[in-house]
Amino acid sequence: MHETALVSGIMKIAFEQLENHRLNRLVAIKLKVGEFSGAFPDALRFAFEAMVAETEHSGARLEIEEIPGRGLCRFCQAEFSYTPGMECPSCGGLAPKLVQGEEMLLESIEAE
Amino acid sequence: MEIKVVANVLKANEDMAVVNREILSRRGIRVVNMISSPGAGKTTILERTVEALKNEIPMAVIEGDLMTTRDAERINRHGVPVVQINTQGGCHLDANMVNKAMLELPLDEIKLLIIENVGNLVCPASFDLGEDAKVVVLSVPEGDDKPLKYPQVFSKAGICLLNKIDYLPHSNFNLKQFYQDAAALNPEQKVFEVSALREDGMQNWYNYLRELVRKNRFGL
Repeated sequence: MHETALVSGIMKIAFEQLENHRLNRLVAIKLKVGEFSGAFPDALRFAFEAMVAETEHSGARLEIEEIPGRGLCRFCQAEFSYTPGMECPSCGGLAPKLVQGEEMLLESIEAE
Repeated sequence: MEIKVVANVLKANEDMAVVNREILSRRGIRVVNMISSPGAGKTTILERTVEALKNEIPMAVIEGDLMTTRDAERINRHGVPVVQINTQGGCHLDANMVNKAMLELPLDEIKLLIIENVGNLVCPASFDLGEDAKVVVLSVPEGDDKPLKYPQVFSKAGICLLNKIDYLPHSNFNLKQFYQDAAALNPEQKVFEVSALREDGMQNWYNYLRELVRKNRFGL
């Protein structure tokens, strides 16, 4: 629901990088978005397209890699694909920890 | 050309949360961030809490609201400092908004800061404000399926207030299922069953806050 706020943060980081590297045109932004990050990839793309169109980098792409949730068992240390409320598939341990899937990372930018 | 960045998009918020935590903990102020869906009873809980503890623990409140000042007015009547943040439709409070708001409070005179987040079970979970604990409020009429539907907030909240517990006999809320799901997400979470309106079970919550502030005072 706060995708526009996230996108303005993403654009700010990207524009700073352009400036630091003395580049003029943003071509693409690569983003990693966890399944449990609280952000919805389609809404991020939608917000990005609308917001970047109002800048001099209109047409730049947002490439999103979705990161699935991974759970880690607190008891037997097994690692597995995570769904909320699950038990460890190996030992039945309760409340596995979410060790991957909450990230929201700007990986890289492509620029000219 | 491709430029490696690897930056956390929420980093600006997290950095500001660190600043807030530093400002508040240096003064020995404990902070709770209350999160729930609209209508779960955050403001009523807050009114009861302020009334019960204001003579014992010097406190202040930050009120997040989309548009109105109604909640802040409700708290203001109880005679504690309150700052209103209007998010202009925004779905969560962030650390920057809280930073500006808390600097309007008499920080040298308080020991407890309660932040009432915008009514929303999704987005506030992603934004650290600099709090010591997140408190999720769930009310019985919302249903026992909410922990699994909103796992982020339930797995991050150290405390859950299960409010409107007096509705239990009139609802199909399955208490056992709720406890099972809540524990599956967050085994360390403490749950207090309360009815803020009827002032049932509120002592456990007050004792939690007393303990939070007391621990701080002795550095334990």
